[in-house]
Amino acid sequence: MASQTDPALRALTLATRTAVAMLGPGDEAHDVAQEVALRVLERRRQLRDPEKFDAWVHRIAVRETLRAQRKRTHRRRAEAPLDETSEALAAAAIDLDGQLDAAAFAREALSRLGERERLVLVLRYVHDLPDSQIAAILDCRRGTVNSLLSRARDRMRAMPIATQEGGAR
Amino acid sequence: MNDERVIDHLVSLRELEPSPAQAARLRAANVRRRRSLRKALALALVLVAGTSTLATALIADTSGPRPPARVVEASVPADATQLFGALRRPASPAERSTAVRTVVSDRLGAPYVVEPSSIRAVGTTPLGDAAYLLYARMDGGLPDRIEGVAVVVDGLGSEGPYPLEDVRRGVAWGVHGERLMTVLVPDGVASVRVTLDDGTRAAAPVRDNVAFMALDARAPVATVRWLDPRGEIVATHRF
Repeated sequence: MASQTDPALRALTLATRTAVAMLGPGDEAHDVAQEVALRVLERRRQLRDPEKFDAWVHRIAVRETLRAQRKRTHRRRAEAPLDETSEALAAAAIDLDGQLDAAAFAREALSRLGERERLVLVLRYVHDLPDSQIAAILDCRRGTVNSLLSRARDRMRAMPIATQEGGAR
Repeated sequence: MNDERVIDHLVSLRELEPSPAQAARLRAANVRRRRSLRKALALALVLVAGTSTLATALIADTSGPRPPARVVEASVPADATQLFGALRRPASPAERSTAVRTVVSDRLGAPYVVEPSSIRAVGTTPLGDAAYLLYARMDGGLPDRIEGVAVVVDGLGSEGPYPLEDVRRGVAWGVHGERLMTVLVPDGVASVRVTLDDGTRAAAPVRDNVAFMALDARAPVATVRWLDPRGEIVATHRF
């Protein structure tokens, strides 16, 4: 874990986890994390309560990640129609050697959820935050967090299951 | 189950750390930003004042008094007048007065250039200071020079200039000394609601494209909401 005494590195660490979970590994996620850390550096004097540092960074990271994701969505829509079939989900789960690629499968499954459903999953399972903090970061009620989590898991369960044989069932 | 596999993947990211290269890149970018800001300010000041002495003084002490902004007659871009009703109404004799120009020029300061025909009085802040909206640009032909709409508060200072795109995106706001928040909005926004990270909420009507709120703004701003004349939220900007 990054040192608490280095706010920029702490911000970079938190933002990297959020961005990689939401955007996948790659330059785009690292650029977002970098931007978040720089913003934190620039504005850190505004924060008077050090206890709220992580929540503040999460807010910035969420905003920057969504911005990058929306740009990407616009780009993809302009380039090609969305694939609405289950084949992409199944294909994502099988790498070139025919092995199940859990990370690729997870990213594809996450991409089929709504923005806020994805964010709630990331804040809960990547950052291990309680409902109250997630609600504060997303500016919503705790009940909304619970229902978003529940709906996200239901939707993922309903997705076609990829197998090592390469198909969806 | 699909959901468990996704959750396992997300949990595995708890251990993810930035690479040493990323951390080094962050340090380098931070140094570059600081240097480029200082260089831009120094260069602009040299162009405005024509001396390197003042630029040296600025680098040495950025908190010291700045020379006033220059006042140069020029036209206000059409997209600015389209966005701000305040800029479309005729300027009053008081707004055209030398006294007001001096206040605006002093408060905005170098390296900016004030377009005097754009100065509009936008009322008094909750702290009792007269405020003005105007169009300003950074002097000197810098490649990334800033130009846009600024708000000057007599007795406090200035916010902006904000590029018009920043206004449209809802990021044209600032806080003077943690006690006065200024929000610039385009036409059609009748009031503004602000929430800080600590839960503090404030609201204010918009007059001449500007809203002022007196608040204890020690926590960062979390959301700025724009409302139309019926009180309906037309945009929520999260920070």
